Amino acid sequence: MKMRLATSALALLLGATGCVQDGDLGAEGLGTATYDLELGQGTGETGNVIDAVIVPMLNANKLMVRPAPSAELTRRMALDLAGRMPTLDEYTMMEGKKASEVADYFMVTRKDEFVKMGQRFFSDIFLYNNSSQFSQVKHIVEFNDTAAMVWNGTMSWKAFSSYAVKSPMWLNRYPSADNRGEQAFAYFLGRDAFGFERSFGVMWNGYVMAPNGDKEQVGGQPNPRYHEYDLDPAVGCANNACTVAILGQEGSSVDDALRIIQGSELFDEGLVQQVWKRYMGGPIAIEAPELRIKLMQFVRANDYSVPKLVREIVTSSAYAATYEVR
Amino acid sequence: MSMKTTVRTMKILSLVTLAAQLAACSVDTIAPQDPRDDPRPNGQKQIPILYDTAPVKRMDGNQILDSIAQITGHAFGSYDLTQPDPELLRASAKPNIDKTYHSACFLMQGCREHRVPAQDYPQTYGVPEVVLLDNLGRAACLDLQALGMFPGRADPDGNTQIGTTDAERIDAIIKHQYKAFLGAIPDAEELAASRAYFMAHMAGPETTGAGVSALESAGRGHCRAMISNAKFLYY
Repeated sequence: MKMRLATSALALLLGATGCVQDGDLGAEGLGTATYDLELGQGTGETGNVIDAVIVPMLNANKLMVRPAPSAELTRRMALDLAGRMPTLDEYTMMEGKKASEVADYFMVTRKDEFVKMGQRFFSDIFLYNNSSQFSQVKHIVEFNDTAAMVWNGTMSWKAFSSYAVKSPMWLNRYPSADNRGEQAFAYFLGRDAFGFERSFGVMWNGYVMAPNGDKEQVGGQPNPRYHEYDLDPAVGCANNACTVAILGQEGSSVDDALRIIQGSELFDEGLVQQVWKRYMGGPIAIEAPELRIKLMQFVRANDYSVPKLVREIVTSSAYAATYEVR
Repeated sequence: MSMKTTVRTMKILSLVTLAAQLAACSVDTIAPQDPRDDPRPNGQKQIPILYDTAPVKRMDGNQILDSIAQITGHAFGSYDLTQPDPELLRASAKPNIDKTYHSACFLMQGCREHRVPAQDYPQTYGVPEVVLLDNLGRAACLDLQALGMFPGRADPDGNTQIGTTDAERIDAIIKHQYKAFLGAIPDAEELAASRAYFMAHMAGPETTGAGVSALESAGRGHCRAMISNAKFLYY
């Protein structure tokens, strides 16, 4: 087995890091055959939105996608979806299976592991932990449990965003208006905020820390309201500005912030880019705007279901291509 | 050749192979074979689309530890965010008895530490990670209670299920480890290299503990080499 980290049409089209090697173009690379993940070698008519974009682009460059051998794809999916190598039994079980069947095994049959991987994914995005100054275990647990609902399919990304920006974890992990503005952009709008956009976070200024919230101990006992916030715009917005115009819209509350976030196309793109990068190892390149648009349409059509987006990506021929160079 | 030397050699070869692969990848522009064939001015180089490949990613600390544990049978412990232990390294939850899971995971720069955004994780392994991997390999592969690196998760000595001669058992162990770590049995070149390692190691095995045969010792050394292999770490 001679694995080579090589560049490719996919790499060039999708923005993945790669290389080109003179003289590596074999006869099969000149072919015009297409690859169909579900139907085997053939038409490219899989219904997969990624394939619908990628396969014609490859064909236009006289290239084809080469499917990974069963073991290679099983290994990739096991690590991505379950966080570990496949067992030897799983290798055997997955021989000859379609990519969709392998994905369903790791996403449905092994759902506990898949959800746990999703929670890890979110913890990497949101950086929730009890290592920051004000973070608390109970807030982390609550946030983590809610994240699980996204990955087991009972909560949409949109609903989760509504929860997240009001959660105690968020308010403590990002305690200033600038923090919250920056992170709202990073998490939900798929890009860093420009300097003037950080003021987005003033819309959270209606949250006021509960009295005695700065004391961890009260009478020798843990303070149950330690770093708890109450939504009290009458107080919070009296002391600090709460109104700001961002992305061409004005708002003065967290609900306004959510309206602006969720109403932006960047919200859809942010989800697509983060999930794509997670499973494909790099962003969708600007050379493939149609792919980005198609995936944004996909998440809207599927009610912002993260598992469905993941499944669409990992069952695409782009994900299921081999890294073996023949 | 001692196991340590052999393991080091195999690891170096593995890393050299990776370095060669990465060096090959560093050339992102390819000049035409005959510059006169390139009609473009000013020395612009052609960037041909030559062939395609899949996304290749680096395993993170969690994936490494959990995979090694599953394959070898050595328990590193686990990571559970829902039960943080502030007495340890903050977000560590269920460390193993040695409390090494979290620290190892963190040092691999890939553990879901929730302090470093995922996009900042490196895609290559540096010297500290390689050294740590060697330690992880030693802990996992030399754990006498861990037999998962052998076929049937059993002591290979006298195991007639995998062969009646050392040669047969060696091949069975090599194929088992290749399948478990890399997902595919070795090709002829790899099989030959691994056989040579076994033979060299068994001629002068390191002592790994009472009752450990030369065959078992070689198998455990081979396991360490597999863990340090770039083909294991990238997927």
